[in-house]
Amino acid sequence: MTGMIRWGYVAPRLGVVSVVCLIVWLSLGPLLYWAMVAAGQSVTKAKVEASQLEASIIHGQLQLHDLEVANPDAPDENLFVIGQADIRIDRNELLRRRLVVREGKLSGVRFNVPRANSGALEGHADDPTDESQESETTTNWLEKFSTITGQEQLEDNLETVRVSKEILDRWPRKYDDFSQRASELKQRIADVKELTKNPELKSLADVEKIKLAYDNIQQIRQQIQDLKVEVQQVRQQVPQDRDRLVTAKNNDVERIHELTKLENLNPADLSQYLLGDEYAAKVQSAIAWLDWGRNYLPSKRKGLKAKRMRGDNIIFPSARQFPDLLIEALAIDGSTELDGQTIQFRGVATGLTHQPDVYGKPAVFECRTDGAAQVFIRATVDRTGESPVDNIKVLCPRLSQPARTLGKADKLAVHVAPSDLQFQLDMNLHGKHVAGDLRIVQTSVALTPELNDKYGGATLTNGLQRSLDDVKNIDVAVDLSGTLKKPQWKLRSNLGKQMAQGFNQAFQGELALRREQLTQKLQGEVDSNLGKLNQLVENAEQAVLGKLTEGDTTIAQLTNVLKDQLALPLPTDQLKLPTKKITERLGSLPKIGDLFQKSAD
Amino acid sequence: MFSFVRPLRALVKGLQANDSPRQLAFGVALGMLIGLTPKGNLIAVALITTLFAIKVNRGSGLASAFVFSWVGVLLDPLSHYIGGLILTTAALEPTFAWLSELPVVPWTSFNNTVVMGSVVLGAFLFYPIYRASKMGFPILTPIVVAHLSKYKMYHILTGTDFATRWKLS
Repeated sequence: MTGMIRWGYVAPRLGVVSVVCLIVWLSLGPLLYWAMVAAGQSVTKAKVEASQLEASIIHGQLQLHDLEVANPDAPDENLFVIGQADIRIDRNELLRRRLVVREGKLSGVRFNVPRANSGALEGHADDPTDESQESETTTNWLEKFSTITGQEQLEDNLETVRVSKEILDRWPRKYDDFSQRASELKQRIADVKELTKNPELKSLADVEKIKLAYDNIQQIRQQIQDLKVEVQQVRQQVPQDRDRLVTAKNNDVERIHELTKLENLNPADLSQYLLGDEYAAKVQSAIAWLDWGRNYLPSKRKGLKAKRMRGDNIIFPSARQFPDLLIEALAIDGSTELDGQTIQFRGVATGLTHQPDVYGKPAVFECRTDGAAQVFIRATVDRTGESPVDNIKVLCPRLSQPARTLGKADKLAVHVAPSDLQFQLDMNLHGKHVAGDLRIVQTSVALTPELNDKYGGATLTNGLQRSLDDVKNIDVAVDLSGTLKKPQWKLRSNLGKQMAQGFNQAFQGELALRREQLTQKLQGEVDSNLGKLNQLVENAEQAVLGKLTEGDTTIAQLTNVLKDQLALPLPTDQLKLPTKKITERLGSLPKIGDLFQKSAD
Repeated sequence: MFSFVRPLRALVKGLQANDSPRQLAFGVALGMLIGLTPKGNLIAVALITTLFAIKVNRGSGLASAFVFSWVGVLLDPLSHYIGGLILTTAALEPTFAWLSELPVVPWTSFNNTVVMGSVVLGAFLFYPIYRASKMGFPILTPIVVAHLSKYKMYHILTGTDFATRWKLS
């Protein structure tokens, strides 16, 4: 047999293989580091780094220091950091083509730690962030309340204001017009008067002037009469305007009642407004972890269909079913942030494998925190059935809660004093469907409301404070449903109910007060404007009529004088001056100026 | 770059040097087995190592492996069928289960239908191919060498062209 072996060929190659093995042994650490980084980055789509990796084939041990896995959605921070990882690998299983970690320990685990440099891989585009689920109902309600109570805006839109302005604008203009026309007539009378100041009628032209003056006087008299009639007619419009003003006021009162109707604030909406953001973050965080697990932990189907080469790999029923890669137990300790507090935790993960169907048992992670904040977490990832089933249970019997503000400080906020809370989460993921509930009870709370001036300020805050004085516990329940990609949750809380009651009383009281104030103000406005209108009409009419009466008097005097002196028998409207007779009698006529002098006396 | 020429050259030199038909035939049979078996498992590694380690004609073995690796792809459905039949035979199941638990054995991928089928098919064809080759080489070698010697490529492969040019022979 040995004669068949080509030793001259085999011996050198055995030597080469030995050297290669030696090199591999010596460079196992860097090789494994490279493989780990490549595999990690292909899975997370973000940078994976470690300061040191030590491996020993003989002892089947692997030690890793300062492992940082960047968050693909937030490159400036790490998804998690592991201070030190100690892994013990079963060497016998390696000979059976399996990588089995009997036990391992991850120390100094921290989540969401800021990075010194970007963790994004070159050429990797970030996915857009999911839309957030936010309730705006209460915000809209507050805006509506603000609009209703916004005095200037409401008053600017009142019909009474518009009608009053129009009336008080129109009447002075009308009487100004009358006054101006009366003044013009008066001026024309004065012009005639000036014309008649000529002491003697020396020529026929003077007589013609007198005739013209006489005609003018008659015209002016007629115009004065017409203007008087017009003034009388205009006065009849005053009651119409008064009626318009009253109607406008009534319309406004009705509109104010309509506008100041505001439905009561819904307790569920108020709960969502005050607590929605805070608890949405908690729920989204839990769902994000489940989603992360779904992405990176294989499903049953994927494990069964895995092929390494042509043909099918037959699994022998009587053989011990064991996955190719298995982490039997992995102890984990580290720290994390919970409601702003850094808490230490320790736990153990079991049954982690990429072939859960072969392993036949779900992966389980159990964890508890140390110190004042006691939290128990149990996460089960079951890929052994037809569809993947995940479950997260979190129980926190007591957690110190620091002071915090619920809602939005620029609108409506409630300040919560420090106290303790109990926290319980049970979330299931069957296939793609999410179901579960979250319950949080915060005991011995002290609540202080804060309302922006725009929404009532200190006046309403006092009413709200009274309604919150009775609230000693905040009990929040969140019902989860929907799918992993589009989770939905419904939030219920005693805080919303209690506050909504107080809010509605305070807000409705404020609205009623505001309604009453506006109605009274409108009535006052109408009364005042009607008084102004009456006063204006009375005064302006008197002034115009005074001018017209004065003109009438002057005209009557002028007419009489002219009649007497010219001795004209004809009525004034048929007056005709015979030129011949006038010329004969010119010498016996007194001076016209003297006539006016006498008339004046 | 010219590494692919070496097996061909070895084959031609083997023919020219009148290697024993047994060595040539054994190389062809072993090469057939290597060619049919899918690579990437311990069986393929062991077979290739054997080809180089034992005293057979490497040229005939590598040429045969090259040819049968293409034939093997065409025979995959048959190999898969044979392997499936064997691996799912109830009587053999405990044996296979026991084998799968042994150290190193799982690296052979024997539980793969194509691996098992091609190995069995190769083993089945091994002796017929060996016998046929052993009988064929003495008859065919002189004819083939006489025919090939007309081509310059033959002399390049055997090195006689270089030896004549550089007056080495």
